[in-house]
Amino acid sequence: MKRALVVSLLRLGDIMMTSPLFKKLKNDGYEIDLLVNEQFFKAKELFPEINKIYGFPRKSLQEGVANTAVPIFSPFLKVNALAASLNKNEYDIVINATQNKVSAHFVSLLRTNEVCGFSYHEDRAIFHGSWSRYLNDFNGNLDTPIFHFSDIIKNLYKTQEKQNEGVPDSEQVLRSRHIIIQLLTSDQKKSWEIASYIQLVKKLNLALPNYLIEVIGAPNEHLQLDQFAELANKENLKFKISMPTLLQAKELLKTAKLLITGDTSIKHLAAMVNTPTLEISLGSSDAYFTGSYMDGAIIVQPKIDCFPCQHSENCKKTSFECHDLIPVNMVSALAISLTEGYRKDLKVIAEEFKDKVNVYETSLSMFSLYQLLPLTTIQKEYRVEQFISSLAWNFYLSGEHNEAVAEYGSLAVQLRDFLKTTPSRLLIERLKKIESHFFSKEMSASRILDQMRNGMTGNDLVEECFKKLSFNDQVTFKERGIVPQLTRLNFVDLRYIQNSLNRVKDINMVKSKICRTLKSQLMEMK
Amino acid sequence: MSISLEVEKSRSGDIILKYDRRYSCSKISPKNEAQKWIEKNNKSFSFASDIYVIGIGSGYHIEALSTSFPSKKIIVFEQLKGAVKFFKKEFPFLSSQIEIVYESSSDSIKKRIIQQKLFANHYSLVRFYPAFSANTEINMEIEDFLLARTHEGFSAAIQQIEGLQALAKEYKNSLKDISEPISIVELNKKKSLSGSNQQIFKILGELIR
Repeated sequence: MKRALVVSLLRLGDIMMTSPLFKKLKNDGYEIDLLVNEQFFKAKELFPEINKIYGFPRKSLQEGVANTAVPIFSPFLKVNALAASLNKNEYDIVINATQNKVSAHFVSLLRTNEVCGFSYHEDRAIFHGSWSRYLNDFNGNLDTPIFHFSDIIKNLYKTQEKQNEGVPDSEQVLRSRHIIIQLLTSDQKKSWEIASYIQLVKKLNLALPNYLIEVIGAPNEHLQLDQFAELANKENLKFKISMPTLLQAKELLKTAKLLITGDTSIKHLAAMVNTPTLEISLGSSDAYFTGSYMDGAIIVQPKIDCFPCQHSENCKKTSFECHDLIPVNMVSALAISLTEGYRKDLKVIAEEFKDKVNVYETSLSMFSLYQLLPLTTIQKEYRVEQFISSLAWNFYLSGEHNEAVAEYGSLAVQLRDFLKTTPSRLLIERLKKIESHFFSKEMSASRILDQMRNGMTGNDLVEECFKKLSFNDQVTFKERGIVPQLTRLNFVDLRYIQNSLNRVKDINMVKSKICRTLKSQLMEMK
Repeated sequence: MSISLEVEKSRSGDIILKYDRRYSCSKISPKNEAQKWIEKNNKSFSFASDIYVIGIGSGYHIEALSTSFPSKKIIVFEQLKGAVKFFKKEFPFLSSQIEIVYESSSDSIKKRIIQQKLFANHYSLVRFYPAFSANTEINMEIEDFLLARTHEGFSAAIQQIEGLQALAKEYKNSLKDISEPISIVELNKKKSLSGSNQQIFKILGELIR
């Protein structure tokens, strides 16, 4: 049997988001081992696809390195021993599902036939495949739509056969009258207030008297759970509090009618077992990148300029204004509709609260990629650009744009079907505008590349890139010290600029092609 | 080394050793003290496959260590002949299980470490303070040597650790000027490291960034 090792040295939620890759590998006949940070060793029980789990002793290594009372080579020997024990397994493929230097250096210690993702050769970073490069350049550096983390990880490994990806489990699960609320997230700015949840449970008690509302949390959240219980008891609410283990939580979710949650690892667990989910996305949570990876989850987001904020930054407002924008009435109405199966009502509710909140439905069926589909008409029109970008990047990263007959037409048909409720006239106007925007970017990049070929370099080149293509918005340029008024550009910088220009040219070419195909199809319909 | 040794009973009834009127372990309950010592250092013990202890004391901490970690190799460093004799007499069943590196000076202990290739093992290093403090200066010298954070220990260690021999050449060329105590951060600054050594040092450097 072929053997694969997946390296996931991030947090629990990230490991869960890697699970679509496990399924893909399993389908291709691999026996899969998983390397995770030691504290998530127990995660194995969540993934039946995993044969063996290994722990990366991050914490003890950190202590060993920082503490001068530890023999200097002790952490060295520990890493060496771990790599040696993994090498005994003779993996056919190693997939680094972590985009950080620790994992990349570690992967370079492993002997294998094939590496997918980020690794190192001596001092040189190597990105095996375009999706790995994309993940590295992501973080606001590209003028792109954002792919879901699971889609990127899944695409790091190219399967030989076309698989039925993203299609939800067709098995009908008999769900119990049970609603689960995950009260907290890992970050206060992402957690809806306990007082709001009290109001929500009150409304759910009234509307759904036969349902059990179970409020869950981790053992280290017991104080907040106690606070909830105290307030809820004062209001005579019907509820249950529990602190399940991960495996218990997975079992609960398997038959629950609905999960209401913020941006938590529990939502990824729910996605793994297809539990209908209502996600309240607040603060720094980024539903495009790490939303519920499943079909039909509902995500609500506040309409406020600062949303989503930076993960590492504290909220700059005097109070969490994004939290106040989420009306309890709306959340309860959405929850009741989802529980009772009135999905048509979701759009009506989204329209009613559209001044304050964006409501999205997740989809995995379109283009085999995670999409956030807006539930209001007006949002759809403005999301056209986002969809086209997403499609174009998928084409580009998969290398399909180089093929003689790319599937532009069939993808445009899917997009057209999705947008059918938007009047064609409006859509054609919008497409014209964005096509000319993409085309002008493609042309600008081509012109600068020509100028480079004719000898333009140094500050003139940088100024041109910054002025015409807004390269100043790309963090990597600043990190590399490529800024206007610089004295000289070395060969590596020049090659970096050239690669960036080629990418801008190609991606905008693909985008304008998709626009043109879609436009002509809409015009045929008229 | 002329240190007078006396034997007496602790309040718990266990026989204990005194060096120059200083107790080599708790005079109340050496067994309790040994348990607490293990709890305190538990993380270090579980980190590596071998445990090196500086200071044999009255031996109760060694007995407890051997019970708690029966599969680990335990090596004790001591310069008091009388203390070693006491241990062998009081814990005869442990004497075969535990290796004692006894020499009367720090230089000869270091020589033994090199001769026995003790750097080649993956070990954690702990002091038993009541015994360690009987001769702090010498014991600190041995400790520094075994931590390999001095140039003397570092250059001896890289000769013995499998996979690190390549560092010996780099040590001659570029690592000699690193300041003591030698740290991973300083090693990482040296561009001359290569191959898997370099990758592992990079990993460790990234972990504490």
